[in-house]
Amino acid sequence: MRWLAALLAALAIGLATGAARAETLIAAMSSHQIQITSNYTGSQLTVFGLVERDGRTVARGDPYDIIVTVRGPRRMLLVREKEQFGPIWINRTQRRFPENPVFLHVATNRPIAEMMSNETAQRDRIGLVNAERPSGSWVDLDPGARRFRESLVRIMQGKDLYGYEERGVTFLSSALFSAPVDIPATAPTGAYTVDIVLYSGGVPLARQQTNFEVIKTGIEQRLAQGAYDWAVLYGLVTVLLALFLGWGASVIFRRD
Amino acid sequence: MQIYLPIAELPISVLMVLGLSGAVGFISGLFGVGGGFLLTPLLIFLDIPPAVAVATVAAQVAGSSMTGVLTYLPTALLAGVIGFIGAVLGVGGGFILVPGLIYFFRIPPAVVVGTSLFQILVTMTGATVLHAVTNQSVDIVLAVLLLVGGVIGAQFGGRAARNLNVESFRLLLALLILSVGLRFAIELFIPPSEPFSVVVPESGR
Repeated sequence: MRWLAALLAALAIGLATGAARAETLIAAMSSHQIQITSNYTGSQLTVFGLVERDGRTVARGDPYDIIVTVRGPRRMLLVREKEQFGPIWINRTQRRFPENPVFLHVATNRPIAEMMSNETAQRDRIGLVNAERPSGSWVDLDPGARRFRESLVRIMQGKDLYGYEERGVTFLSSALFSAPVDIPATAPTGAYTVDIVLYSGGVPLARQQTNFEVIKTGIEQRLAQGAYDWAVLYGLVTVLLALFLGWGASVIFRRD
Repeated sequence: MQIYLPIAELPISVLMVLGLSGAVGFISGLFGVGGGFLLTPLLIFLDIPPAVAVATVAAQVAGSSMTGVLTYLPTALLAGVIGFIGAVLGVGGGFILVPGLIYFFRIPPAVVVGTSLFQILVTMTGATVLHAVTNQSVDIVLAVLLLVGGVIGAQFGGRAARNLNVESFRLLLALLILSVGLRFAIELFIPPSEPFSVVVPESGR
């Protein structure tokens, strides 16, 4: 069986590299930086892409499919499950997801299920649940891990930090496409990566990566920096401000 | 109107925070409790990271107890002395201290409230600086918002306390503490609609 798997893998690589010569992807972001100011309430970026074909590219029977995956900064996430313990419900089991993106947004031009098989989606890490599957495993052997991962995705979706837009990619022509990406205000600051994959008939043809960053600017940036660089001063200023406001209120209210 | 909090890293409605802190400040001034045990869970409920909520509320409590102390002091100078001893001894939160002083030491409520507020003032001043130094989790923008609402609320609370008689004062304080406790207790017995929860541990931030 081992040689069969090796043969299949070699075939898949051969197909992928053979196809990579046929089409190339060109990607661009409407902006590479989101600046957080005091009235920041989230932002929107647009990913633009072009499927480039040269004269020798074979005509394809299947339409082009695009999958855009945006991943935010990685943090350790802890998922806990409440279980019944006697008459009460408390957190009992927990699972760690180290280095997991806090923001994850997948956009496609049509539902993933129409583009490819479930197995392909798992193997190529396509879709919200598959995007961060640990590498090396072809199937989720541990059903508990999958349950926790699905719960993680569901809860993060509820917070608008994870999202899947099955019609989020729009083809402007047969080769040009765009995908808007909503960045909510709660999305963390840091580096974001945008992965774009081109599929046709369930086979990956080309991929491209770009990026952007979310940073604090102006007074927000200076306050956040000050809190780290001059922690004692920052603490004292905050407390003195607090006491001053407290004193001020009693003075104002004593007059009347 | 929304404003972005630089340390908590999310925007929040200014009016909502003012209303919330005003209400908690009123309770704080009325009963002489810091109000932190109400404000901290409320802020966490608004998606503010727990570490930021705890540290910032410390600053807010320091400021609003300052107002409270100044409101009470003219009628009860003794408060400062008792409060200083309390702070040095590091006696716990106001919501434990106040009933203790009223029932075990038979000290008049007005003096007890002033005492408690002074003790809270000293402890929370230290706590704010320590949080800022060790965790960098004090959000100065949120603190100012909470203070503006809190100190005004505390003023009205302090005035209302003078017009209350002792019996209704005790009843109200008992009901407040009881309802907060009940709320947490009941939650334990109800099967959760979403058994899962996701947290970003502070070390991972």
